Amino acid sequence: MTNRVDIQREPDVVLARQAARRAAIEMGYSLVDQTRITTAVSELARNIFLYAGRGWMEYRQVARSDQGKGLEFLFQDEGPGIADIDLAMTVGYTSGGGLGMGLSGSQRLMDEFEIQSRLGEGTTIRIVKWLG
Amino acid sequence: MEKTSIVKIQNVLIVTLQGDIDDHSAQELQQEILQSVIHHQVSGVVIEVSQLKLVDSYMGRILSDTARMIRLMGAETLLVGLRPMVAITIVEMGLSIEGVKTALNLEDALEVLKGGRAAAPSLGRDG
Amino acid sequence: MSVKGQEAFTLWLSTVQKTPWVTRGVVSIEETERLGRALWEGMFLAASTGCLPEVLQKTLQEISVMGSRNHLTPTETAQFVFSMRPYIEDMVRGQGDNLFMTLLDEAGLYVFEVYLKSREAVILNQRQDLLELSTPVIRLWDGILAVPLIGTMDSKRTQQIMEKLLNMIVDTGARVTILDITGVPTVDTLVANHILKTAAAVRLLGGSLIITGISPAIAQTMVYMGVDLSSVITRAVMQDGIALALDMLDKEIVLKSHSTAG
Repeated sequence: MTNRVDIQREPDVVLARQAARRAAIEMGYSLVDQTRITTAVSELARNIFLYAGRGWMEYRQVARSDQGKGLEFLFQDEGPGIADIDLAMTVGYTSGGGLGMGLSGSQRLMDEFEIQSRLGEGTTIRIVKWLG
Repeated sequence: MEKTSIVKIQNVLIVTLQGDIDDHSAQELQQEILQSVIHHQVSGVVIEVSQLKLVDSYMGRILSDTARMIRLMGAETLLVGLRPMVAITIVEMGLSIEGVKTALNLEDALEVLKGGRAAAPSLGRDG
Repeated sequence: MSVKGQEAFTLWLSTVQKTPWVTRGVVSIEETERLGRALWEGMFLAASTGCLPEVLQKTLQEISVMGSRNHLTPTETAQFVFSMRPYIEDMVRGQGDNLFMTLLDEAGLYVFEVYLKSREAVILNQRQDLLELSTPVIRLWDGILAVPLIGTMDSKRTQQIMEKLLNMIVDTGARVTILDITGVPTVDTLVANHILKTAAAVRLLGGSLIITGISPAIAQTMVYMGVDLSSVITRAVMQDGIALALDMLDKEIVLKSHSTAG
């Protein structure tokens, strides 16, 4: 089952991470992993609000034979897109006045991180944490 | 449920952060703390964060900015009670909360602010 | 069960009872009868449906786990199932015997598989135990914790140590932690990075970390590799670390005669 949280206003970032924490608790993640997941979600949900204005987060339980169960989050927006993904992933780089830790930080906290972006069309980021 | 309290004890301001704080509220909080530092003319600020389940890059930035602003106003800031899981996440992300000194608990923090002993070294490259 | 079936079953059981299952005392005679019956009936049920029914899988799992726990080899374990072949062959000759033999093979393979999986689980558990055993967090003194690291540091282990240590620091209110790396064979950039991370996390909580056990060889490697450990306090031996830790807590060790004479 896929769940969805719309991100349009700043408080939606809080709603997104609360939903993420609930899902992580439900699936039995350790306290550290709950914190890792929630923090990564907070970063990416904020990015949608900051850079695209609006978008949404979808999340669901996934399974893979070599990893077992996991939690997957998709962050999608139809914003301006990212011109240079490598640059955006660089620690400390920011185009919006943040710390420049959002993308690189959430990548480090999760097991999988995938980003796709097209200028003028939007950005999709997929992250996964395995229950391991 | 998201109630932050600011209490003055002697010449120290004790700020207890609580709940899930959104970015806007964090900004307001920074304002409020700075105003209180002036208003109460304190020499030290203790920011107690043991109720925070999460410190992401934004919250980390607010904390370190606030500490540096307080420093400019002539007072010292101590961060107290960070949860182990939150500390691990901050380190793993590669966040450095620069310029913020820390103490294990309120008692330790007050001792440090009274000049009793040195705090844990300040964090980050400039520490 | 038909009379013929009952006969075949009894003959098979007496064969099972000559295998290591009974000769090495893994199961009692009564137990073989219970398991044997479940297996026998399960196989006939399988023959009527064409696949291994759940009830049979349960029995096979029970057999596999019993075998692996009692140190039977995978072959000895699967023998319980395969020893059935000649007796069944006699019974089902001409009537779908191919299907039956295929199912019997499947059942035997299933036992192998579960056996290996349960072994893997045992190894995994042991590795976990070993990891935890090898990283004790010791309350050295009031306000001082010590972590003697032994063996290689990888990111998984670092995470575990960090978690355990940070929780201990909060629980005990210890302001100083001594991390001794005498027992870490090689300290490369990766390990150094893990140590730096641990130090940073300890500092975030308001504690201090002293690294001890920096041998000449480690000091040389660090400098040659350009690893910057200047942000953490280091000492050559644990003894110096303890002295420093006490000093940081405004404590010192005094000779008894001193204090009484004074």
